[in-house]
Amino acid sequence: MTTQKPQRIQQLDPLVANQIAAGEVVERPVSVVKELLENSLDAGARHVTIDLERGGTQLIRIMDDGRGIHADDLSLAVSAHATSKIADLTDLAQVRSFGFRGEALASISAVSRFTLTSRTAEQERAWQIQVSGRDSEASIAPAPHGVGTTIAVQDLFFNTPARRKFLRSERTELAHIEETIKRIALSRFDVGFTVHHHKQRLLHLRAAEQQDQSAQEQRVAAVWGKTFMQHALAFEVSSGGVRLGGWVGLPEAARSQADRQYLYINGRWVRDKVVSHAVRQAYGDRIYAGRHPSYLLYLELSPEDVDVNVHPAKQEVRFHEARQIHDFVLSRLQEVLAHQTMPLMVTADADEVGTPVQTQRPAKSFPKGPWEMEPAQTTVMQEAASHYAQDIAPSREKKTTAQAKKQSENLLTQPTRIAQWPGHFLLAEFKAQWLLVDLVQTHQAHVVQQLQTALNVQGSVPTLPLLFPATLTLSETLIQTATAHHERLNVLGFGIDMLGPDTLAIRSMPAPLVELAAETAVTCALQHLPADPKIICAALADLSAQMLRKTKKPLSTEQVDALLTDIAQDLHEKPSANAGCNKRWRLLAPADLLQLLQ
Amino acid sequence: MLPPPSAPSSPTTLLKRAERLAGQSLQQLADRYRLPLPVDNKKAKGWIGQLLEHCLGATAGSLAEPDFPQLGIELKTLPVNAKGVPQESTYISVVPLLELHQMTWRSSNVYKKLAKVLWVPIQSDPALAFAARKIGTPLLWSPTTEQEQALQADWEELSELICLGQLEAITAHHGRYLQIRPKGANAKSLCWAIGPDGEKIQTLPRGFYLRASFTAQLLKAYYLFA
Repeated sequence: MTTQKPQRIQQLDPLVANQIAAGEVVERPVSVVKELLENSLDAGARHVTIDLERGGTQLIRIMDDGRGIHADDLSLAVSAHATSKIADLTDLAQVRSFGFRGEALASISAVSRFTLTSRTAEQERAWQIQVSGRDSEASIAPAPHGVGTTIAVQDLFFNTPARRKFLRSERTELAHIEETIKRIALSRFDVGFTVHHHKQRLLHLRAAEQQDQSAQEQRVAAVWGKTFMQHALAFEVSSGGVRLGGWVGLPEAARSQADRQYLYINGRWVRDKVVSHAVRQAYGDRIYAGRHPSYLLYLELSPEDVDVNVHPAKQEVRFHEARQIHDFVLSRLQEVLAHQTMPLMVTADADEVGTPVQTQRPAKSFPKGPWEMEPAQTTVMQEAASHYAQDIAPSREKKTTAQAKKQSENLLTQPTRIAQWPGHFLLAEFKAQWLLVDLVQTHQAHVVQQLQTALNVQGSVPTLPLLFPATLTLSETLIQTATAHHERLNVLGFGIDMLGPDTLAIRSMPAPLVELAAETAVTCALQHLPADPKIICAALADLSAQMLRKTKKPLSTEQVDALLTDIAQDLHEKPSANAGCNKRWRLLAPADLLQLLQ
Repeated sequence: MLPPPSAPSSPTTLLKRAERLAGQSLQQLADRYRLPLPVDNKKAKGWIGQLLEHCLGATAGSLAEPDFPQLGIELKTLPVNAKGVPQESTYISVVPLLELHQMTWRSSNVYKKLAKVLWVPIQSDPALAFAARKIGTPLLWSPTTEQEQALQADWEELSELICLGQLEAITAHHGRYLQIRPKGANAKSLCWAIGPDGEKIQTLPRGFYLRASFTAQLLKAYYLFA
């Protein structure tokens, strides 16, 4: 039995941390090739030569004719988070270079015997820095080299046996490297590439001019084989700042594997489900189930519309408007594939190629603007439409807006609820006093006030339809009253139709009288007619209060809020409102409570 | 059988006509037009819709057009319980699985169907005998700006999922007011759709449905509720 000491937390040694980070960037030889090639392209290389030995495990040497690295920066180049590609976070939103995190060289040099030789155009001679794993000191010395940079990575993972164990056979590692080089070669036609493995030439691609389509197609044929090129359709379409071009394989070029589906977004090779889905959908039934189309697509859009900082290996992106991109790719490719009646050979003219689709502006210009395929959207409803809704039920809407207006006009202190009794009593706190409210009586006063204000101000009480009209059978006298005073009932907010000699239908009711059954309210109003509307209002409110006491139905939160606002309003207008005669509510100061207890 | 009235000439005519039906029971209406009440309860829902179309003079037989094509108005019955609350979602339209990618909200069939609706509440408290159930007060409605924004947001979210091949990932929980559910007589009736990799797949037909919470809010806003 051993007792273990508790493990304490310690700061990691920077060198160890660097090696851990290196494991994330440098997983296998192909990661090194990718990072170094992208550095060469970012440095403006016109030709890159890659020499490999034992699938890259023994040697990866990449030689370019780019700008080179200044001698003073050499040691900085191999330290972590050093980069010339971005300076601050704002640059991150606009990333156009391949690398940007500034960890590639530091990581690679931490797990290999690393040599970097470089010369800028201004320097008279080249300088070389050597690093052998994390333990050794970097040494810098002059060396012979033309303008540009050569990086040699030898014995990858010589100091991390755990990582070395995970390497596959040389063949497999080489296949991965070749695939990566092909992806890059098809994204940069303007750069030449030469690849050797054990001095045997695997690939030799001359730089092709931007406008020289046949030279570009020769490169595609060299990388993907002549068969693809013979069954491919060149195209280029653009719309609202988005440009899509490249070659789509005809159904004859479909394969049993989805291995020839290259997509570049702003020059970067990516895997993207949105675009690949749209492409497959565009082929539709042209390709049998189980076969996969071949395509080489270049999508260009404003860097603000796509997030490249999603995946550490930068092979995934996220569109800000995925749906629009999908629709664009789908609809345009459907058009292109529908025109496949004119097969295009390797030698096809650029003009002929362009016929089925629109012509382009240069790839790198991104005019800002709405998507073309989406009609201008307005969220404003047509006038007619909102007019309908208002025709039907103006009252509820008006009521709420009026309330809101009232509340915003006087920002009064609202009483804070403390407790509510089932029997319609409420205790609230208001300006350090207790407020005791008889909700039913206050509500009754509120209803009277609402009805009378509506009559005085609008000339009639707002009405709300009943979900199902109620029918009411009445005595002949009352039916006669209803017929005679139909107009007055309308003014009070009752919508009534005669159904027969002793029956009427109630279609709508005064909005403030929600508690009252329609039949009860109408009968009450008819019994009081032809009295003054004010008397009828008071009678209806009284009936409403009786109904509340009888049913013990609690008032809704909104109703109680409206009552409390009323009280606050009263107290604001006449602070003496609390005095004696008011039986609806009462403010209780500590002295009142003391008196109550004695 | 009483001949149906001619097609209404204006929204007001239609609304007046529907208002006259309000408060009447299914039995009363069936008697007036000499239509037999449905024997099979399963067909009752469709029967009410047909009865109202008949009584209001709806002409469009096809599903693509609104029920009153010249007015652009869609007729929707809305079964409610004893408290006046809708208990089930309302079917709007079929989900055009293969054409959705060509549509925008305003060109969608959902928008076309919901731009102008004549809602007719129907009593459907199970305690009430079918023949005794009443027709409610009609509501001629168009979405308010807020309602349309909410519906559009749902529609766009759902159609994006479908366009990107995520159809099978959509459940009835997606969408605040608008939902997508399988629609079909049984699990054997299949139709074509676009699958997760962009290929064509066979799947159950789907429909757009308006949640009961939406129609409940609608009724609350326009009718007197205790």
